[in-house]
Amino acid sequence: MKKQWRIVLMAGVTVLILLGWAIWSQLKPQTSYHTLLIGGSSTVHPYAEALAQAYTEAHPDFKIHCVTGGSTPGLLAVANDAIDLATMSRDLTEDEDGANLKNYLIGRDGLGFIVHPDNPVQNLSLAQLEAILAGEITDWSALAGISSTSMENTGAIPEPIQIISSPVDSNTFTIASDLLLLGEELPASTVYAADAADVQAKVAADPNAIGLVCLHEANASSRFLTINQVRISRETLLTLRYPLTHSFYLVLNLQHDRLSPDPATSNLGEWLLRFFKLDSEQLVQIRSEAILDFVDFVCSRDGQQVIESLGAVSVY
Amino acid sequence: MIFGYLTLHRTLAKYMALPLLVLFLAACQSAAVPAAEARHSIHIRGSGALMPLAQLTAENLMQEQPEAIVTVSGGGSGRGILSLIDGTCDIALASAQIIPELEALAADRDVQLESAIVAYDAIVPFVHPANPVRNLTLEQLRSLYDGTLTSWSEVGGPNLPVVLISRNASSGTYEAWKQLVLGPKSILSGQALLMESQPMKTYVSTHPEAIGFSAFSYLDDSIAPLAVDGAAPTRSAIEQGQYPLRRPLYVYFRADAPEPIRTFIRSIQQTASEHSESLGLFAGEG
Repeated sequence: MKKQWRIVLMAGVTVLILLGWAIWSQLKPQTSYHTLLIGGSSTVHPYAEALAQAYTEAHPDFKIHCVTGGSTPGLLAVANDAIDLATMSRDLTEDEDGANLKNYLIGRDGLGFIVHPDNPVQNLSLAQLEAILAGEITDWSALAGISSTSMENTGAIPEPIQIISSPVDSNTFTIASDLLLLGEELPASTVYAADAADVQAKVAADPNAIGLVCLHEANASSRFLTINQVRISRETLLTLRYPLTHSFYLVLNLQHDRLSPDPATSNLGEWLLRFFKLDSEQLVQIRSEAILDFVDFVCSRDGQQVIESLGAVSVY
Repeated sequence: MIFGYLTLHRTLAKYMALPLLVLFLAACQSAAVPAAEARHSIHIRGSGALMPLAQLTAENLMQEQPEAIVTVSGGGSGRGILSLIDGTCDIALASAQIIPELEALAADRDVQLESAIVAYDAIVPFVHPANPVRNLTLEQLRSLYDGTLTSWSEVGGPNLPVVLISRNASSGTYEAWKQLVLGPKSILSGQALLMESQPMKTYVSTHPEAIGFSAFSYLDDSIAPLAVDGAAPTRSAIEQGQYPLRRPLYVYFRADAPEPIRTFIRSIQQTASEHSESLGLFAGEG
């Protein structure tokens, strides 16, 4: 009699443990096993991919898909709850903005212009810079504000402007397109360097050159022009005072009522969800938590180090 | 003896299994929640009218404390306060008091806000330099912006239809314009084109029939500022209170803001009083 009781008790305990394990392995992963869909700016894309990789390394149950397509389509997609997070490389306009859109500043980068040490030009206005890149100003002497005496003093008189650009598939070029070129092409005389170091080398060798580089690509010998009298630096990017600053945002929609794109991980999981009456509201909650956990990571020290490692300025 | 011990053990196991399981599950749950990290950064967002002041204060702080991070972003007064409510900024720059909709949203999300006046500035209507009109009464401005007057000839100008330019409703400058110019009884004409400050200035500088308005600090030679009720928008007229369209500029912050945020707000106020002229702002009550 006693022995039978023990068997029943042991069986009961075993069943409880197994059931507990089943609940844990099916429901618990449910809160962490998740697929996030992130889309938007092609400038932010490499950052999003690196952040996703770092996050999924620490959370192996997580899957994050990053797609590009531009800031505006990304914003539209997140506003319509078609994706989890939008990446944007510009501020939202007042018309696009809404009370349900939460936008996190996650990093900044800036486009700088370097010249040869002998070039007497110190500053360009944004308008002058636009005219140079559009091929409307082709000669250094045509720039207003440069007195002929200051040019003579240097001995070397720079004349035709030689633009040195990063390759068209570089992040620097993408930023230049976003901030200045707005879809236009650089003049035909532009020389495309192999990489940022090559831009530096070509500018160092040519007194007439002006090179496009991001802040982090500069080295000790780079001589940046001030733009609208503002020097490019970590501080002027953080305060947005430097005119060619790029802000990276993650935008989430606070009013998402869509379920996870990957709601159940297995048939048993689905059965348990039904069995324990986990309703769609809880699944939406689970999705929200997954999104916020990723955003928390991006804004954490670890996430910001990923941003820094790719060259942008960290903001947390 | 051994048998007895095992029995006790099994009994323990029997009674402890479930509580232990519950504890285990709870532990798994809490382990998944990342430890909150202390933030060593200050994030400021909002009105363009206060950005130069915030930028100067932020850069001064970062020069003194190289490890500090202070970010400044625009987006308008409404976005600033919205970001304060949703937690994506610490200080909102606002060129008008919080609008009732955002006040309700803050209450709804259980966020308590405080505000402080950091400086004053003026809102100035402006036209294309070729437009001969240089002065309007407050009454004329109201009649233009509510759509009652539709031709420049009705206010002493050429026979051209008036093209109204305004900021949109999330702008603090619009809010102040609504209070100071339109007043409680008039509403903005539906014909008005809505633009942000810089595009508005560009538009008016290239369209002789247009009229717009902006903060005093945005004025430049590309447009012609208008006197209001005979008072030209000069520094001295604004300082002495003769120019009528003057408004306070605020910072908003959470009532539970930690000391570094409050310290920074005091720095903003101090910077405003020290550099008001170069920033295009005005200190004190006046």
